[in-house]
Amino acid sequence: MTSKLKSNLEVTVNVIIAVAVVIVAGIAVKNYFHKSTAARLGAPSAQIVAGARIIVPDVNWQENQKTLVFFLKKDCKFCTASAPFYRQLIAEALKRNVKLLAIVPNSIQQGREYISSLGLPIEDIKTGSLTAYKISGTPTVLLVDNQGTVRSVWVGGVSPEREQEIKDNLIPLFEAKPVLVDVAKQALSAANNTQTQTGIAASDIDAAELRKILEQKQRVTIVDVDEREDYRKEHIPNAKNIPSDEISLRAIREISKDNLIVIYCRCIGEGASNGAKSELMKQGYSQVSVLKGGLASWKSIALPTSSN
Amino acid sequence: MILVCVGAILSQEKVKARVHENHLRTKAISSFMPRFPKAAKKARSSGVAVAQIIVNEFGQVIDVQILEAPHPAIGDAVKEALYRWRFTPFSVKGQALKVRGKMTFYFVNDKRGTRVENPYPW
Repeated sequence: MTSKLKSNLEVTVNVIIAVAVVIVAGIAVKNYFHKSTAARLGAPSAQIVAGARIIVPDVNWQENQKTLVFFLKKDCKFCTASAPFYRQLIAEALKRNVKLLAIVPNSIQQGREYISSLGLPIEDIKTGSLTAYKISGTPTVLLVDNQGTVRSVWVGGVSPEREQEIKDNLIPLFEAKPVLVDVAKQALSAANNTQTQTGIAASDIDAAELRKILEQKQRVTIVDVDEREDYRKEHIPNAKNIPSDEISLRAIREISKDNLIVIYCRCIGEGASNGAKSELMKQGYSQVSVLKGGLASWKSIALPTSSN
Repeated sequence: MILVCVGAILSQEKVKARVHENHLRTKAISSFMPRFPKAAKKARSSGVAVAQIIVNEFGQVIDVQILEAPHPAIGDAVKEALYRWRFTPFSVKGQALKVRGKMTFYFVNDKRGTRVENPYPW
């Protein structure tokens, strides 16, 4: 009897241990796949912060001194609860000519209906992935300056205590001086200023002007937008190679906005260069010029080239 | 070797369209970040890696060519990862297509350590 009881007890304990191991293993596997999935999908590890640059397709930050960007989601209860305060904030923003923009993960139509239901007078509504903008949750409000730099970030629903904090810290920034484009660098475009779609004056330059800029040791980034094989054969010394179809994704990390940027290609009519220039202008680059005549014009005045 | 060459040639045939990386990434249904290889860490390599991929009518990656990589091991890591990606099939007027496009990754090696990042805003 005792041995039977002992045997039963042993079996019971073994079963309990086995079940416990299965549960722990299951949790470990679940956690592993959750992290792996997040890593695979390139989930961002941090919320967007002040000082970061933000790019929104079809938005030219330079058209306005400041833009107040609301990240909202349909049926987000904190968005709904914060709406009365946001109406006050928007009223203050409009008095100071701050532009308003809303970005929603839903469709624009759904976003528009929701924002309208909250009584927020925001006309410009875009759709986009919150993750792509490094937005960890809704509602999130950003104040963005005319260079596309985030000046202030407010995440989460607005409690009564926070309302005053936001009023004291955010509203004064509506009137803070914007970052000015370096007018001195625009001396290069003195000969042929043309208004681009983004409203910033920029002009093409020729090889002689580029040589002068280099001799004066001005801060310039020369970008070769042709394919790698062409670049390897021959390129302007110290030029960076970013093929034109890669510019939109690589520029922000690899080309400083502080420098004058000169783009060139080998194509007739500078089509690739002009396309790349448009893309850079859309991303808020203000000092972008195309080298007239491309590499051929550089070589035509007997300037040296390099090869890899 | 002959089979590999034939396979490579066949995969290049009838690539109907080029798609931009933004479009490729929006159509990805499973994605894998490349690992930062030990050999590259040891060599303190970092920088941009760009690959050209061919995606067949079923959304499978059938060819990866490394266009640029700061270290050969990084190129291998990018290849290994990209072959595991899957996409919603690309189509025009209801017909599935084989497409070609580029994929970019940044291998970062700084004070915070090593990591692999997608280009902004991905």
